[in-house]
Amino acid sequence: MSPRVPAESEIRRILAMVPWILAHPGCTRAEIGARFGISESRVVADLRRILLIGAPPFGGGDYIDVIDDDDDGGGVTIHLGDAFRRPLRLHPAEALHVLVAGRALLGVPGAEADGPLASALTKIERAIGATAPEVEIAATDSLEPVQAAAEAGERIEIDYVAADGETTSRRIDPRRVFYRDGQWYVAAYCFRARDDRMFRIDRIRAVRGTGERVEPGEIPDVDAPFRPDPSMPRVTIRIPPAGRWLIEAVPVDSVDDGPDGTLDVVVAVADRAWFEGLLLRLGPGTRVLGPDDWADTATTVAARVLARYRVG
Amino acid sequence: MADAPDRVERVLDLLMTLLETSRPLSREDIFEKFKAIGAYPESPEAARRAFERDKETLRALGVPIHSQPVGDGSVTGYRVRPDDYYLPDLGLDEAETAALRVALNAVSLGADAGVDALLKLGTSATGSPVPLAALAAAPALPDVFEAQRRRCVVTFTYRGAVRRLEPYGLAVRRGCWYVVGRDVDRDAIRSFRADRMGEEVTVGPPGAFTPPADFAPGEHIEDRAWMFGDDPIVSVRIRIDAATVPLVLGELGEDVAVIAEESDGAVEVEVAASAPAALRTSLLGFRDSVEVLGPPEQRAAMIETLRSFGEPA
Repeated sequence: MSPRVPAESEIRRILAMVPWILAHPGCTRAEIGARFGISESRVVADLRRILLIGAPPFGGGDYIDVIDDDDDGGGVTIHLGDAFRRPLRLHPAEALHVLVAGRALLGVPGAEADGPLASALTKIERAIGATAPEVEIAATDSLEPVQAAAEAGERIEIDYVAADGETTSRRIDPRRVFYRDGQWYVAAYCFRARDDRMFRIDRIRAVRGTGERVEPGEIPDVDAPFRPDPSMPRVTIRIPPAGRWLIEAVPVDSVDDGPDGTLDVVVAVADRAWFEGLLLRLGPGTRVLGPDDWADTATTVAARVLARYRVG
Repeated sequence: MADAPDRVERVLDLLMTLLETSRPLSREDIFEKFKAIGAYPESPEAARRAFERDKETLRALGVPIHSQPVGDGSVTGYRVRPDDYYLPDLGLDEAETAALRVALNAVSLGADAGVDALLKLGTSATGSPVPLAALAAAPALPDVFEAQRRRCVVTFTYRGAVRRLEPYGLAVRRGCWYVVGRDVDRDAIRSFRADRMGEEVTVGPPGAFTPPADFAPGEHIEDRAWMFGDDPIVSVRIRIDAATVPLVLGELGEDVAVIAEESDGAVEVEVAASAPAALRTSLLGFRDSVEVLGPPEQRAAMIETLRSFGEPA
């Protein structure tokens, strides 16, 4: 959708408010405010606006009539607002969000397949004549025990396969389980790292209960965009146009235009093995611009892989 | 006479007028009718611009403005048909409305359109949502979704080429959106990553096709880059070191044939590929923990790719 301008959100709210008041005659200003998430003074201003909506020929009976008797216990009523008796149909983006959110939640392990959510989706699909998207949120073996531990507040021990293939056992305090961009994650305090960490649940090979309670801690804000740790080394690489996928696939500090459609990208290197693999996937057209001691990374690792093929 | 209405009031007046009219109104009709309240500027050019802006605002809100020629056919008339405008009565009970609120709070979809949907569905927008799942959005999605609903052919650019598609369905797989339907020019079912579609999607007239009954988009999604090719499929044999087996199999997907398991945990697998170069790229990410064993030309191609990185200094 286009970016919201203040006038737009005000119109949007009023178009939702008129039918609601029509359906709830005598409601209080406080109820309206709570329903639409606005202050009571904002409600008063909105009601004044509604009073000014009319249609040609703009005579006395052509305007919506609002009676605000809230101060005398009569509540708020609207007359002549029949044009807005029902809310505006769902915008395609809204309908899509409703249906995809519902489908996604139905796909989460433990969802009730025949519950009210499923029947609500069927009713919406039928009413608007649309088919909900298929949403696959694949569960992984460790999801259930990790989720159960996070809910119960139990400290657990996990066997975790890192990006370089190395498996480590770690004791963690799971704080929050969530799904993002196709993967399940658990945000946890890790006793091995002595810091908060995010673990991909599909890489957790085993989960063992400890019977210990988690230390109380803050629920991490996992909705904030991922910011790489400032202490990680930063490497600047120049990628050819075909390597643009990198920007979407990997968190980058900055992207600048280089010559001939190339891009100069600053990447935070959490793990050397991961960075080596990244350079190989980007291909020989990618150059490390600095720091100097990373310049030979791609040729060195390519030579190491070649050694496996027993050719020079 | 009251003060001239401000923009919010003018847009709402216009909407009410277009909803209540029984015949399409031209721009001039509207200026004439709104003269009494001094709603539009007197200068014809300024009035025209203001009217176009109001119309744009209404369309952005999702108001279906119907336009058709009026009079001798040289002028466009506008109206909003009540049947198109009103949200149909969904007949949701309290439990269903509550379940939708939970779902919209639990699943975010890019920039949030969820709150407005909640208000229309008759539930409050309050509560502090802690989303359980975040799905990415793609700019083309709402248009394609609406085109699917109204059965319109969509035209868009994809990997540099123009494609025409009858959108049969949408699906989310591994966190990516796919649009699946009949590619009109190829007369075949194809899937497209929504985030790789050009932002400009042209939507054709409604009712242009009938999707097959019970179409399941998920069954037609190709999300393996090495199966995007048009070449004959080759079966590539790969050895994976023990430590990386789960990671590599996780990337290659479920339909990989394991043909041998060695005592140290290393495995040999066969992967079908119609775009072996894309498979090589994926395997390079695992560095020296995987090895292409055959067929010989695939092994040679991997060696050549590795050599193209040059000699270490």
